Amino acid sequence: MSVQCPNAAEDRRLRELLRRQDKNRGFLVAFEGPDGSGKTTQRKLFKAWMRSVGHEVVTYKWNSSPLISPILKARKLAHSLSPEEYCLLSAAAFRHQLNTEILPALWSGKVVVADQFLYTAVARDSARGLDLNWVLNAYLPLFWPDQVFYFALSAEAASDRGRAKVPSFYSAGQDVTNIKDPVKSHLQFLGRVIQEFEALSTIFQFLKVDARQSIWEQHREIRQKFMTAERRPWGEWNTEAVLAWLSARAGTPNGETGKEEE
Amino acid sequence: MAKPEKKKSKKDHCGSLVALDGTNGVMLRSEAERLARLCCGAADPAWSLWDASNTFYELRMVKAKNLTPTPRVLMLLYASDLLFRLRWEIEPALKEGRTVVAAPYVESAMAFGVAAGLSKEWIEELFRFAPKPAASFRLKEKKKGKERKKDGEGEPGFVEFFCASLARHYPGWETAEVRREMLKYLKSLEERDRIHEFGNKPYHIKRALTPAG
Repeated sequence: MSVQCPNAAEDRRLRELLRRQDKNRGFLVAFEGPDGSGKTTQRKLFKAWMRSVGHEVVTYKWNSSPLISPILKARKLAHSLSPEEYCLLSAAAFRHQLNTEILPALWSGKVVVADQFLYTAVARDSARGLDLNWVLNAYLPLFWPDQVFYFALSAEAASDRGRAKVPSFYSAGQDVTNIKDPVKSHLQFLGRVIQEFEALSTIFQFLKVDARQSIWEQHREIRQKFMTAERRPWGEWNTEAVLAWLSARAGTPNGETGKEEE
Repeated sequence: MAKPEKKKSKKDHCGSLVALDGTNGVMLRSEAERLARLCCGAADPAWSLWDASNTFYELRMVKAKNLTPTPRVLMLLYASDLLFRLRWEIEPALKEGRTVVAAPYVESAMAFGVAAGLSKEWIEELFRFAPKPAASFRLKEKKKGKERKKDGEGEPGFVEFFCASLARHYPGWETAEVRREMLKYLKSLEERDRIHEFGNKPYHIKRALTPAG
């Protein structure tokens, strides 16, 4: 047996704790979609709505881990990241934020609104040519949000919306397209990203929002979908990720293997 | 008439990847060069050390005390550092026909991850990108007090850095036990002849580098 795993009694205790807290926990809603699809606007509106009905809301932003983001930013500026390195550094940043920001907030009953969860990164990594299984493995154990809103838009429309701003080297996918013009590269890369999103949308059961609609139509649709969709019980969907976090909180950094499930 | 076969020289062993793994990160740093020279003789040896990408150096520079990496986060960062080493150090040297000693390589990470409670399958898939070395060695442990520095003292190796980071935040973390488990894992590879002990007897190296070894 590995030295840092909780023993069987501790494991049972943590599972019981998880089961009881599942009723009182907050919920996680993710907003995913290509650049220019309007997810940030919708995330802000959703957050304001949640607050207005009395929820305490926390925003999670992709790649903002204070531990790893400075490293990522420096490498991005230097254009020195390979697709694999980019993927692993992002996965490390995500895991760190999941354990230090997302799970503590959910555990204490807050609503977490994620402006890009891991799916945007997975779509981009796959669009960069990485093997989807290898990418998903980097994000294991997976943590499923209660709801994922996917803003569907064509590459041309998304690119048109972002025309005022020149996309950065990695956002434009210039590391893989080898196109010098960032706008042209972005358009081509967006096409690939959207293709990956469509595949992920089926696998991970996204709630699709037609991003061509007006801002208010989209917001209304999100409200309706949010009210009718059910939360994902942690006991069924997120046991391994939550147990790993709980056991780390209890003083042993691991037990991430989810022994009973194996 | 066929040319007479050239006498095999030490140089014939060059152009290959040699892994050096172990439970003492500080010693791995110092022993990588020795192993590279033993593998190649005078033929331009090369070695690649942990944190060539400066990822962990930058982590040490982050002055936020509440930042808590888990073993999984550290493992992901280790893998990203190894990708960097492969791209900028190992593969270019191999292309030049040189022998490169990678110290540490995949098995050290595997040993640490397994000792820390991570799933072996997860780590194996994570390091799927890493090419199989021509030969793998395990650095022989030296007696306490001879070479090993205290955790966190001086320029740490990966084991020292990982254990020091985790021990700061997790009261249940037992560095000595982790090292014992790592050694157990590496010795189990030795029993299956997947890794060879690297101590003071260089004849082991020649045997391991031959195809039959």
